[in-house]
Amino acid sequence: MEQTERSMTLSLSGNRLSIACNDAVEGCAYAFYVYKNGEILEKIWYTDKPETIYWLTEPGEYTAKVFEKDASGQVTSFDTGAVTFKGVQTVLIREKKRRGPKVWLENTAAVIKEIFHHRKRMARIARYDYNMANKDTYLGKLWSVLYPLIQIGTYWFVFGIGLRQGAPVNGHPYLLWMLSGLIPWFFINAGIVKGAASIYAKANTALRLRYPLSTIPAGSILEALFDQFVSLGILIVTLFAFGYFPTLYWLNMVYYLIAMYVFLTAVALISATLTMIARDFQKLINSMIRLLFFVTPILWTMDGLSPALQSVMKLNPILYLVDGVRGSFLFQTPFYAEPLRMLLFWGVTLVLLVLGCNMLQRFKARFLDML
Amino acid sequence: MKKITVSAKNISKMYKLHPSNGDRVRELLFSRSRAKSFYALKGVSFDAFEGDSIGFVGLNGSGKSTLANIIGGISQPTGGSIELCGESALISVNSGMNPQMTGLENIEYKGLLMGLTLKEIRARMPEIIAFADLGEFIRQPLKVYSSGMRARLGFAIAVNINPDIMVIDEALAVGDPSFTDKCLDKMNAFRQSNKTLFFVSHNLAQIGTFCNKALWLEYGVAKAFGPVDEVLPMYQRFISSYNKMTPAEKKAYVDHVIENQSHLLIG
Repeated sequence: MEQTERSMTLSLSGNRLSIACNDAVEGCAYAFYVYKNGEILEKIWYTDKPETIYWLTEPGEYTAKVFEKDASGQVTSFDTGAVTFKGVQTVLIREKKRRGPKVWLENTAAVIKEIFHHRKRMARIARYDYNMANKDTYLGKLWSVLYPLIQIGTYWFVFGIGLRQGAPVNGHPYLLWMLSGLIPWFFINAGIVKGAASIYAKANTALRLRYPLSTIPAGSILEALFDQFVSLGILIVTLFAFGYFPTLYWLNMVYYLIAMYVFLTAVALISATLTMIARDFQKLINSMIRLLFFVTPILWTMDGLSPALQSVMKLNPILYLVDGVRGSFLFQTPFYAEPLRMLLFWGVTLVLLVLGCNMLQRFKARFLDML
Repeated sequence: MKKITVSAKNISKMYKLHPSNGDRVRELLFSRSRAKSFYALKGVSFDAFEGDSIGFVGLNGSGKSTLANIIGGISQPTGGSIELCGESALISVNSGMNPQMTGLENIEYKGLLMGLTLKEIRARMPEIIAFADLGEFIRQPLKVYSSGMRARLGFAIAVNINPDIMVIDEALAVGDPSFTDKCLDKMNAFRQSNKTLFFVSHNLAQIGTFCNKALWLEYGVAKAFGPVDEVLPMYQRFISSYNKMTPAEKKAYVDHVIENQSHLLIG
């Protein structure tokens, strides 16, 4: 039988080794053996295709053997040349940590921009969440009125009737004085509690979508704001009932609602991130919130405290907000009455906001791994 | 010339395996820890073009879902870069639905999260409901659904939201054959409209008929990437020989592979 020269190809591109019989004979079947450094690595069984592909992972010298089986079952084998595979060198790049004031500002701007850019989406979701909140109760939406009313009733009974025997404060009925402080506190309370839980509560839905994460804490404050409008309605009805009528100072509420919103969002950005890192933080917040409530003079007056202690208490940004709302409704105080406190409040808020934005930006890539 | 829609360059994903919670805190506070690094992906690179349908194959723990999550945009690589051209959507068995809400509410909510208005969602609602084909169950909370029903709803929402890049992470595994066929039809239409699809599955027959390319991951490394008829035969041979190994041989094989990868880790 006449032995003809046959042409076999063994070629490597990247880690893809292709073996081919260039002058395949019609009706023949082909099988291949792959060798690494002379040792057999893989046997590829007969098919009608005269070529095959094999992927390499380890460096070494590779050769192959091609088997040709004709219709009568007679097998001829051919050796190919050799190729050397040097291995794939992959350099793993690690993320570089950037630091410095410029990065802080960039992160803050990025978060604020994201919230602003997605504000409509955020508002739609907050509205949906708000409508869903009492869905599984029979009284439904009525609860957003009943819940604050029952709380107000409790505090009024304990503090107004029990402790103060209904004595007025600075010439205003205790109920009004209490309400005008308690109602902004409802917003602050709900904002702090909901804000801390916000990202964790939505982790399963929002984290699994490409969703702007910073709008979750900001949206939870928006949800709390809807309840605040209901509570403010209760306050205004009560004020009317006591013969108090709107003054220009009531418009201060626009300023204070914005101030509360920004302050609570800054707090929520921090607390929501901390809750993702450690769920303990949410428990801590829930247990500390009552302490915060009683430490802040919301239901009691500071009159009995020494002037020094009073100044210390006034550093509390929450008291700034509560005092402001109370002043607007009862004491005809303009919102710029205490510029120093105002400056301090916005200073604290700015620091919290920068901190919150940076914490979120730094950790958000790892949130899904923290679940 | 077809446009590149997804371009992954040398992406890696590292997890820290902390020995304790205290160590986790130490790392957060002082950026210092005794944790070992675990690389779920090691320098994976590939380009996907419009109209491509790419199947991810590999053993359990090879990094397929990690890569799917990265393409789906819900997880970020710790090294390298990935560029996506268009919106991507990930469909996995637990693809972010709320078990307390009804099917309808979940459709609305997911749409809202994706940035649609309620009006836009309600316009698409009939199509989604028809595709999910859940009957009366669409008004029931998701907690009473079977896993197949959940997957159907998730798939129905995702395809009707019409992303440019779709990543399907074993979501079809729990559907019955008739629903799977319906999904495959939809996915074919999706491909023909020049979008890009990624498909994680252990069903090699599905990948073979449905994908034009395949990426074989082996413990975080892209071992092979190319046309399915080049990658799948080798993978199938590997699987059948791997299945014949004794547990000790399997372990030796894995150790061998991982040891051979250690030269990859530079920098």
